[in-house]
Amino acid sequence: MGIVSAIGNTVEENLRSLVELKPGISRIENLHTVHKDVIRVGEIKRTNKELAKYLNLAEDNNFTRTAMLGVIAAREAVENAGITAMDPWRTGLVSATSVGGMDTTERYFKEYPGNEAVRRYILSHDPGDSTHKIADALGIRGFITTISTACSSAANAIMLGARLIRSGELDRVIVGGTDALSKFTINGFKTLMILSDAENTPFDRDRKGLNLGEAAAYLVLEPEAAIKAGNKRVLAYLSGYGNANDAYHQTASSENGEGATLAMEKALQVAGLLPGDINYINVHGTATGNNDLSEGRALINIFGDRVPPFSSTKPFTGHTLAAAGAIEAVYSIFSLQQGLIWPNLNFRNPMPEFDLLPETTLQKKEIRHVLSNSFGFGGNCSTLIFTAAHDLH
Amino acid sequence: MIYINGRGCVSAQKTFDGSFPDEVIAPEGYILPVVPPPYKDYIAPAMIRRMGSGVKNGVVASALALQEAGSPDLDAIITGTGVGCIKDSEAFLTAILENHEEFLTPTAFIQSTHNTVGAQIALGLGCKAYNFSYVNSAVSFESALVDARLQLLSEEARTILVGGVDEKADYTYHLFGLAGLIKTGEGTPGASYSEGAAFFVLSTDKQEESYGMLKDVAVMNCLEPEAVAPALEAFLRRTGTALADIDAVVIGKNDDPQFQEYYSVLSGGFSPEVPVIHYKHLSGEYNTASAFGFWLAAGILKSGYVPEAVLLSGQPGLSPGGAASNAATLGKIVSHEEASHRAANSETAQSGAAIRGAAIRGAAIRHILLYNQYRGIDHSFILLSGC
Repeated sequence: MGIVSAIGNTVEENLRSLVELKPGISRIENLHTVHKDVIRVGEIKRTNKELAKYLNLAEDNNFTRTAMLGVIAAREAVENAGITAMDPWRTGLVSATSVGGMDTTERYFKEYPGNEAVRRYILSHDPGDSTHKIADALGIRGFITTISTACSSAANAIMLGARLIRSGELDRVIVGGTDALSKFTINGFKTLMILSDAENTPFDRDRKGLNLGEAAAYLVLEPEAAIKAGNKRVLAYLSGYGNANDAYHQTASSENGEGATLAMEKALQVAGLLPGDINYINVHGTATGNNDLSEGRALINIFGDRVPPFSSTKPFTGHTLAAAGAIEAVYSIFSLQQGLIWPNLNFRNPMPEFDLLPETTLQKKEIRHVLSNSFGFGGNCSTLIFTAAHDLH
Repeated sequence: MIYINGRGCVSAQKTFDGSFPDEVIAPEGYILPVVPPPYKDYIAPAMIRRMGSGVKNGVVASALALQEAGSPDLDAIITGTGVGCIKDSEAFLTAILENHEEFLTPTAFIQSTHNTVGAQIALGLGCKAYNFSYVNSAVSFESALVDARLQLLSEEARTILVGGVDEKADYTYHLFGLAGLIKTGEGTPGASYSEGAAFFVLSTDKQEESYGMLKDVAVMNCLEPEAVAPALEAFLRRTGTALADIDAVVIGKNDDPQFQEYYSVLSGGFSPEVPVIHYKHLSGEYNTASAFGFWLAAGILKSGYVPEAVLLSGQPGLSPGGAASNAATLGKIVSHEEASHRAANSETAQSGAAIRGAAIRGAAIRHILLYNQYRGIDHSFILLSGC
């Protein structure tokens, strides 16, 4: 796996920040917005110039920030998996993004007609553009595609990857997502009045909304047979996945959390697990009034009065939209590997609607199965279940 | 087996009521307008004003497909869209830039997410099933097909609504002109563009009225022209079909003078009498125009004839004793205005006008191969077979 986020440029740095309880929420520096003194974000403190230099891009490249972050994380994933060549394995790429190359589009949108020099960015707006650039950087030729289901996108990319492997369609697939901060999403969430002016406080009575973040993360999925043949180190197993639609409202989740309940049910069924088998839940937990209430009710629907330890890691990274499912997949795998439950930072007061208390301190515990939720606009609800590497053998 | 049990299409042709291909609208200009279906028959009036054209066309196309398939329960809704709800994206971004991030309203932002079409279809149907949206340019629709096929073959799902939809937006299409995607004048690079939506009901259950079967689909991010033939060979091998079994080829050729080699290489591999069918001269180019091609191919499989308006070369093997002209159906070409007028008045379009195209009825068309690429990337093969 590979990751770049507000709490680290590598897998190792992300793990260290989690263990040392160092969140990455700050004032925005790399993007000009009139809201810069009001909002807090999970920003990666590297400028576009620095990223381009790091990637050795030519002066006249048309990489968006989304694409650069994606390439960095996907490269790390491939290197960490010990992959030196794509052939002869049929290798695919499934990447997620919410607004694609919006970060450059919003910079040059009005300039394009009059300034030929920046027109090369017109075509990098396309959400598939970052995916193509990642595929080119990794040398992948074959099946590549892009998923955009708002904030559940990367979880869905991981889900499709699992399907491609399970069916034998591919021998190996790199899955994940990338999203850069943009004025477009900042103002979009601002108009919906779900951006907090303070650090986000998931599952807290007084939660004020989310902090946006930017990040990219990718995982390498391979089937059992390839693992056995290649004598590879397995980080974890993706044992269950489920997707359902709330079919309630374009942007709001239903109050009873029906879609989320269905997604978790399906994932447990695919994994062949019972609710009691889950040792930790990495909740979607955006800290909006609506999400946490709906998700909390869904947890109670599934787990009753025995909800396992749960937390949202969005106080560390901010809500990284289409990348969130992949970021939290990496953190879920850390949990399995380290036997650690990440604290839900900033929590003070329980919500009055139910008795759910997120974990507030770092806890050591044997963890065999982690359930991770991601929900998005359009009623999209996704659940993934990760199982410890030693647990299927 | 995966059966195509329903199809619906809104496009620059009168596909929504089945008038096309008997009636063909002659394209005018480089951005072809869609023939509007009677939206009010499918969408509440207050919603019609609020919805973007992609959502509206997607809702109508999916309703048509579901109606044909007998309104089955759905196990998944899978949508492909290259540019997504670009009109709302454009509107929200313009407002941000012009008002310096102040005084914004959320409506355009809410409707701008790429999964809005799939979400609105689900909302309209009250469908809580699996719902995905693929956004990878010219293989957005094909990605949706790949996903649907895997779920149907593994019996995770029995019936799936799958489709492709794209909409146009004035400023974005102007930018596409600047970037060389859309033709801006005679002899300029780029293609004639349009917008549209096509949806299909795929199911493991065969119905009396099934169009045919989806045998396989493959997606490739890049291919050199010389690699097209080997890639096709590998695809056909996988499906257990020989090149000689292919009775018709549907290609995504557009009017951009660039990137045409791919299609000539591909069709060059078939005997000259195998019909090569094109459609983008009538549908226009857009990221999910290949879903129009799929709609057309499904119709050809079922009807057994290749309308002359889409026949690029070759001819189908004629049925014994039946010459082409004997089996001809009437085809006529009308202007967009006339067609829109008729659509608005919900008239059937069977009378009057000149006879131009003569459809050719062939021997059984059993296997149709579809091939599409866009500007040298995002290649796809699809194999459809008769029931």
